Amino acid sequence: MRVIECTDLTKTYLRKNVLDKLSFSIEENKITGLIGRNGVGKTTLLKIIAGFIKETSGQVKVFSERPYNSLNVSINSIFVDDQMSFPPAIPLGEILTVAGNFYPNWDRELAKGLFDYFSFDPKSYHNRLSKGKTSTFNMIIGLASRCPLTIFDEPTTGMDAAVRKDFYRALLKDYIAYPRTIILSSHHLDEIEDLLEDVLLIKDGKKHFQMSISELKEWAIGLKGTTEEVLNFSDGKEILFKEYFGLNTMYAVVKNDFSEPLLNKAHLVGVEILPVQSSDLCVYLTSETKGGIDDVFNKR
Amino acid sequence: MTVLTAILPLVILILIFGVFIFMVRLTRKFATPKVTHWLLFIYIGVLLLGTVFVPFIIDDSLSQKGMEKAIDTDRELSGLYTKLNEGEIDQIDAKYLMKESSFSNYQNQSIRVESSNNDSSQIFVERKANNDDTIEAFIFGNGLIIDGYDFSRKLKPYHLELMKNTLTINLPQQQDINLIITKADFPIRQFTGESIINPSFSTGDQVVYLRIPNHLELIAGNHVFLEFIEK
Amino acid sequence: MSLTSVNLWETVKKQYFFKLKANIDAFSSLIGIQLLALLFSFGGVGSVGMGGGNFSINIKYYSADLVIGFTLIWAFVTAIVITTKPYRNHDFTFVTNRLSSSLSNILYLLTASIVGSITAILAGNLLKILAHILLDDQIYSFNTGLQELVMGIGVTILYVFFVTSIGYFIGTLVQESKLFIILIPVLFFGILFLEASMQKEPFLINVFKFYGMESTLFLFIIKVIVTVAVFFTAAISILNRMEVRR
Repeated sequence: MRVIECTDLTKTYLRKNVLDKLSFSIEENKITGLIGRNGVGKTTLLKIIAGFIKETSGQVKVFSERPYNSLNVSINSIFVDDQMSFPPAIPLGEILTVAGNFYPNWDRELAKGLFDYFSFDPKSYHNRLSKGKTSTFNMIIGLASRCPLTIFDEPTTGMDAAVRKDFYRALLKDYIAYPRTIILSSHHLDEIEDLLEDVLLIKDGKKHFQMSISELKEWAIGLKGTTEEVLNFSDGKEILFKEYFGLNTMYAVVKNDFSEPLLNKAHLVGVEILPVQSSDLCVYLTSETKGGIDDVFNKR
Repeated sequence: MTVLTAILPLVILILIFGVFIFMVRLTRKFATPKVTHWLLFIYIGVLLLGTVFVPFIIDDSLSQKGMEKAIDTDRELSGLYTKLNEGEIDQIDAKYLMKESSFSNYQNQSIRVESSNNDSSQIFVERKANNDDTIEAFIFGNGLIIDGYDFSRKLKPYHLELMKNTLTINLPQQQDINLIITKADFPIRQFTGESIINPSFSTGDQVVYLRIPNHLELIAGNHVFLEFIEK
Repeated sequence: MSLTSVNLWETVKKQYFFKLKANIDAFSSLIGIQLLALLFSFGGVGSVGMGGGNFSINIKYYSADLVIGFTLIWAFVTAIVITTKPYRNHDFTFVTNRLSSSLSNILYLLTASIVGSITAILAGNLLKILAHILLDDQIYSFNTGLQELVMGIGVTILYVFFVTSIGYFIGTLVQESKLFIILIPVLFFGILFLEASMQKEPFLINVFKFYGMESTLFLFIIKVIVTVAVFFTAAISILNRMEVRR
């Protein structure tokens, strides 16, 4: 079953297309990573899916309904980010109760357990929490609500490394126990790639690609050797990323559609074949220039 | 000037608004739900307690001060004067009688009536059938009626003084009467037609009514107008 | 994971109780404002002086008028406040759509109107007691009937709810565009000044006559309910198009 279906989804702010004819779908009970650089419309997309904002054109269906103003989408989904707002008058302990009233699948035990584990004070207030603590608390709400569609938009903002690890572990454990559709948008792909099944990569408001994480890991290779040989081998291919070492050594990332003999040949002439980290690959794929930040300095 | 008078209320209005928003902000800061619950609890408690006690302070005033609604003031007043003219003071409603006094054992053949009122005072005189050497004096007043309610009791009656052969009617000193009246709130007044701005108000002079022994001769002083009752 | 379906009223009910809890502090400011009004009422809400013969009379009138007036302003501010962004965002943390959010807001405002009106009318009694104790004077009262009390509370609730609907509508306009913060006062006072300079009867007087001088209870109820419905419907239809948490 498709939980989310977008067709030609476009969102325009001040005549600028933040999302530009985006089409994709997300299957039920998968964890999908939403990857993209800052400002490519990840948050906008997630907010449209959550029904917070309206699409300008195109179609979006969540649980086969248009999410904007849909109660059914609202009760079956939750959107977690660091901007989640809670009434300043209600103490944290009571917020858990309130959330329990709203969300039918709410797991009180889990909420209480996580609440105590991260040593929250039930009498404290949400607006007095630090950045990291705010994210941690929101994450608890997101997990314990057990919504069939759970959206985490940069959930780890401000969290320290230990809490981030705890969060990912909690997310995975709870997902295994209660499978649901989860969308996770994060800058730290390296941290979450073990969690993800699918990756949806967005560039300039368009879908760049959507594939499973295992496909992504083998999608590209790195070639390292003398500049001449590397350029020779990557001839006719799009170089996703290149870097120079010393005078005559070059590293280039290209799409992996080499045949086995070709790879062997490369090996023979001294070109190293290296796997590309999926997080690095995403950075290369979404960057505007091929040389990365080095270009800025090399031109001077 | 006109601009100023037009702007001033606006400035005040905006100021009041500012104070309000400030208060709202302020309470949002310090008033935790617990504090608010207690505040509400105490406040409503005090209000209810107050409501329970109000009938006591109000009811007292009704019974002790004899506040009744005079329905048709004008008609009742003309009735009062007719009865006075006809000497039927027994039939006059007791509420108009402000003071009653009698001077017994008056042996003189004549009596002089003086008044400290520089405007002419009207005095009704009734001759009794017999000579019992007693002068009876009644002071009637339709005194003070505000919004149809009789506040005559608040007025001091004339003071009568008998010195040798002179009966002096002394007006009370200048009186300042302060009244505290509670009115219905405006959402009620809107439908009952009450007004808080223009109270209806009527007041009349006090009237002295004398019953004198049959043979007593009356001499009117300055500004005194005697009216003898024919029975 | 199986999907849950939900109906509107169930959601509105939950949101209503949530809002009572979340916005309970508004009642703290209500108490503060009513106490302030009581303080101002202490010298009497009206006074009349008269002279006659050899006496002069000074009447001080006491009533809860000022308390009710302040409560109206409180209700107006409260209604505007709950249309602001943070308050709308609270709803969208949990289960909501824009209609249920507005409906629960309206229910909350109705509750605030009822609480505000009852306390305002009863505060009038507190004023009598305080005047009795502190001024040490006899207090005369014209009417303390239960029927009038009930009617007074009912009419006051209508007035306060009326004002909240205006506040909610204006608050909504301001959320739609901040331009209205300037536009509404400019329009309001502009028309007043214009009418004053044209020697015309200000529309405010007509508005006041239409509602405030209506002496038939039934007609008054109809007028207020229709107006309230119009304002709230307009606000809901504007809010229905409004995006949150942009």
